Amino acid sequence: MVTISRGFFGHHDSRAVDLPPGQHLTNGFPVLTAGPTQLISTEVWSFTITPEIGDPRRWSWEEMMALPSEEINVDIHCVTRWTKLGTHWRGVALDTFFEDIATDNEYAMVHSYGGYTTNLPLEDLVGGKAWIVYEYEGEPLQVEHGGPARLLVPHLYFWKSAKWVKGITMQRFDEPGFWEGFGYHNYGNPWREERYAGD
Amino acid sequence: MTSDLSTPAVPDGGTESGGVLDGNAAAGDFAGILAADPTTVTVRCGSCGATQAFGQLQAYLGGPGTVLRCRECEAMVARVARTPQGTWLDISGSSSWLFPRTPDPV
Amino acid sequence: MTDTNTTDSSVEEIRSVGNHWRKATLIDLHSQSWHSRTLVLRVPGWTGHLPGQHVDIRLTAADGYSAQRSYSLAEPATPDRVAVTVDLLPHGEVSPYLVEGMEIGDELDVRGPIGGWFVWEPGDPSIGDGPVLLIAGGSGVVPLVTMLRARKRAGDATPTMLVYSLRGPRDLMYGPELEEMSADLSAPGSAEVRLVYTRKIPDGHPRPASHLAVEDIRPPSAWPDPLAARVYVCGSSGFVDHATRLLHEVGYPDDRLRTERFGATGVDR
Ligand SMILES: [Zn+2]
Repeated sequence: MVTISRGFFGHHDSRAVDLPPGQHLTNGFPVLTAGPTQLISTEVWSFTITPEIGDPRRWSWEEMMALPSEEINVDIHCVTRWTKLGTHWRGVALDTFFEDIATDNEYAMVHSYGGYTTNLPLEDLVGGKAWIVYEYEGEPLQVEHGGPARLLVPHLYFWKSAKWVKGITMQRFDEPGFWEGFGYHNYGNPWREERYAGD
Repeated sequence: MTSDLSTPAVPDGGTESGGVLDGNAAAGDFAGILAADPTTVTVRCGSCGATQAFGQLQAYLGGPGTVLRCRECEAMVARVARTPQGTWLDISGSSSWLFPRTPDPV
Repeated sequence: MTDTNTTDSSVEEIRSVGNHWRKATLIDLHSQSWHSRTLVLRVPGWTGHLPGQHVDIRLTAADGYSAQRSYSLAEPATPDRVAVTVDLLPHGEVSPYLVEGMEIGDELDVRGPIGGWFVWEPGDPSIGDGPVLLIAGGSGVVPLVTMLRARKRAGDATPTMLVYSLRGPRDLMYGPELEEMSADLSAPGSAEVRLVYTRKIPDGHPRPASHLAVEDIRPPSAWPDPLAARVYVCGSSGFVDHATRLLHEVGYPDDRLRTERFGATGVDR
């Protein structure tokens, strides 16, 4: 049984806009983390894609900054029920990284500094749907939001947008990541409200 | 040191702040699973072998689930998530949990 | 988590008595400092708690949105009654409602009591004859004052000192009560209280403003043993780390320390 507290509204915004089912608007940017903030300088940061055959392909920070970047203006949806509209990011599309990669595998596991993992089908990472981002609202991405660089996959729940991203490993079979193996949905489409395993 | 804090154990902004707390803050999540009060349990880390009271673990709240980490090596020792299917518990990162014997009633 | 799924809470109710949500009604309010106040709630069925334990509070908006926080219990146990002292975090989501919005008769949900680690029950055999040292940073004073009140109520004579670090005079919580408690150290239930102002001192305060230092935690001359049998530290994460370093420096082993920390603040963006 839930008690309604008279006069309590919370930080969410009750404007009538078209939100995914079960989501509330927030004006803040909640910081949710499963572990300690990773302090990774851009000198040591690197991003590696490991295909099933051939050598892993690694990009240093300078090499990533030399790639064509774009501005991304998207809404983000967290499985803990907040949605934030109109966030602005700058980063490099994963299509650009995958240009160099030959793979027949259909599944990807994303790895972060600190050990976090999340799984996605490759087709959700390419086709202009996902980026490695390093600026938020015109400023370098703050460390508590995953800086120096995080994955951004805005069409899925935000736990897929791994903070402190370190690399992607291609896999023949789909395997669950940190939350996917622990009661949360394997795919996580907010518009179909795929929050939990079995949804 | 600052005093613009809300009272323990979770600060206001709290579950939004992403900061590390101690295991006391996670006790509410575990109280529904364990028959005993979790905060006095002694937990041994499966990675480094250090023992600590549950209340001394590092707790990360507010995400999809609650994650507890070793205060010595930061390895994950336990996590819990509540979903419509039920309560998910993972203690694979710990090697033992000692529940202290409760004194007999006087 | 702020999931308000009703199936979850009915399952919880069956599983554990301490873990289900109860409706609470605000029956009394006292201002504690310029930015904090104590809320007294009537909670039918609340059977009591130990000093130092906390309670989860859940607020739910009319549209179903809900937010949950933990607060230390601010009074020793009284049946059907729960008190919390809440410090305002200006851009917080929950504390502005509790400190400025909520009125007598308004309702919310509580769950608890929670915790058994950061607890001092008068007569605890592991503490023996004491002494006990309480170290508070800011609103971390709340569970420690609850311990002092329970000690007084029980007529417990364990030598006890509270060291309370705060920014300035207007941040002082429980001022009159702490003054009365420390005025006559031979009176039952009294305790030595040291106020450690970090930025601004009131007129006539002997100690200049500075952060908590080793001298502040030195034992009072009346203590039989220079080290307390048990130390409770409550405050922000940074404060607890700082106090723990000082305690190690003066020779406290880890097994005498009990800490409770609340995370970094001002993070709402
Ligand atoms: Zn460890």
